[in-house]
Amino acid sequence: MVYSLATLWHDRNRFLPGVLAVAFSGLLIMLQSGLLLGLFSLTSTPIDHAGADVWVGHPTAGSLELGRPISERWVNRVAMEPEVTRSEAYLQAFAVLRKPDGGSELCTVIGTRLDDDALGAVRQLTPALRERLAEPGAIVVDESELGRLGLSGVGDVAEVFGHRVRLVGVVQGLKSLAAPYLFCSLRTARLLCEGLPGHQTVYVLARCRSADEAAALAERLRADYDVAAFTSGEFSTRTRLHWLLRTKAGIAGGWTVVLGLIVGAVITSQTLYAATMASRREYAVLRALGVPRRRIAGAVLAQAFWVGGAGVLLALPAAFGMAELLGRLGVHVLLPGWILAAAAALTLAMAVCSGLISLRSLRRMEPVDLLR
Amino acid sequence: MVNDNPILQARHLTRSFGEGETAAVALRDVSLDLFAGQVTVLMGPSGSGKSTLLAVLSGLLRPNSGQVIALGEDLWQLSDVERERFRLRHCGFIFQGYNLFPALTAQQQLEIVLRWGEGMSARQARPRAAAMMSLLGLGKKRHLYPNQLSGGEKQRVAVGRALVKDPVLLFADEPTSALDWAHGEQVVELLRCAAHDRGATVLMVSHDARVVPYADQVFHLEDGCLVTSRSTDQAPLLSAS
Repeated sequence: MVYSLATLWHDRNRFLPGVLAVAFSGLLIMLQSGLLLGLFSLTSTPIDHAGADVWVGHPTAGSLELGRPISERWVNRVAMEPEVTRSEAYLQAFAVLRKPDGGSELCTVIGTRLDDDALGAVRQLTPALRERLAEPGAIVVDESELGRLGLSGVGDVAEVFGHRVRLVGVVQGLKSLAAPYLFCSLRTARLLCEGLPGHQTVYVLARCRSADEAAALAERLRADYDVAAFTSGEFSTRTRLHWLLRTKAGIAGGWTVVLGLIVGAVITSQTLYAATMASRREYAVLRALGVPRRRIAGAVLAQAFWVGGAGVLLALPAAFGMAELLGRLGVHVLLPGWILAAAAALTLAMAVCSGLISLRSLRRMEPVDLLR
Repeated sequence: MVNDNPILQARHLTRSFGEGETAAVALRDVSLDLFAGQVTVLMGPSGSGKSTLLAVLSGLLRPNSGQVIALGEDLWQLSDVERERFRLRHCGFIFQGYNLFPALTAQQQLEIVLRWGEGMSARQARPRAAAMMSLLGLGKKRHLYPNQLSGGEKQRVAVGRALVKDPVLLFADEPTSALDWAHGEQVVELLRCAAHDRGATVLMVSHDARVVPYADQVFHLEDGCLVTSRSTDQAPLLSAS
């Protein structure tokens, strides 16, 4: 390792393209993954910002927007489970909003209880907003969606399926991916969700005595009844994954990562190949002295590892910098530790594989060539 | 240190390059013996086959026919891996160029052989390499890089790299050709010491007649044939074909 590092430092200009190629690949993987995560985290914000421990819905509801009506009697049935301290209905449906200036926009109506302990109401709904939402036809939307909905501010009026709705407030951080969320009371939601029969709900939300009991409750509900039941964490992940796979964006993102890896591998392997060829006479002397080829291969792979390590070290701050910059432009990039660790591991593996490819240079290194 | 039994015996070696009418014959039925504790110089004009003979005798180039028995082993009957192990255990090489890693210090050039070749730890390799550097008169320069050393010093490091694992057989291909005689003489003296003091068998290819006084026996090669030989002491000599 010492000799490999010494060579790397001594020939740093020669190795620089390889290090930059690795850094480019690492940055691309981190940013692409972070962008996808950030994008699809929008699909689960109603779950992530609500206070429920367990979500219960129709058996086909593998993702938040796939909820279908179930009997409202499930609210009581869930409430009777021993670990449940509170359960309530949660309405959600797609609806078409007619803008004040004409035109229409597909929206997601989300109707929840509005009291202080409500499980479905997102945290951003302050007591004052909830009080205003109690008024029939009152809605709250994310501030960034106002333009999309043709609304200019609080007090504006629009129509949903012919019912008049009035904007009573705005929140932040609840932007949607596809259909803007219209937050409202259960009563307003029943009005706006035309296809929803009476005495039915879309989800039943539950709070447990302890959050630790949520997983066991969800598992038992799934086993005992024909329902979909998930902890809020599970449901959030399922929702994001569903969007990731359904929209094929994950596949597109994956291909971008693969392309980044290929570009990185080609440049890195060529850099290592050139570096090894430049030292071929020195390596040939060692081969003449009987040093096994595998030891020399090990040295080349060690160089590849250090090139990869240096590239990852460059990519990490660059990824954070780019994420910060994109954040200021309104693009949400999520860079959790596991994404960074996975991207670093993948990038390092790519660098070592590049080293393996460059080992072909060792085949062109025969000690007898030194005797000419 | 001279022993009557040859350490290395070569018999009826032939080697050519290319095929058919364009084939160039480099060695024609060459036979010779090398003895422990002796410096043997192989002389001859350019293209006479000196380096080819050194390559065949040292296990680097397979002959078309003939036999090389070194330390009781039929070198060209061994597998590639076995021959590599043989070179690792018994052979040292000095080439015309210095071929030193520019990123490593003079001492590290020796350490790398011990660590990668013999699997020594850094703790074991360092003192042994340092001792060899002192023996070469480079003790104070062992932490310098090749670009900080003169040509003569670089070649002495290359000699040290060949000697550090204490080889029985030492092969040197034109080791003085890139040096002025003052520095070349130092290198030849080191090789003579390796033979006379350490008992190594040294085979040196050279076209410089000034190395002859340091040799115990001298072979002349012309057109791939061993034409003359001379012993500078009374050691048993070769058969030249």
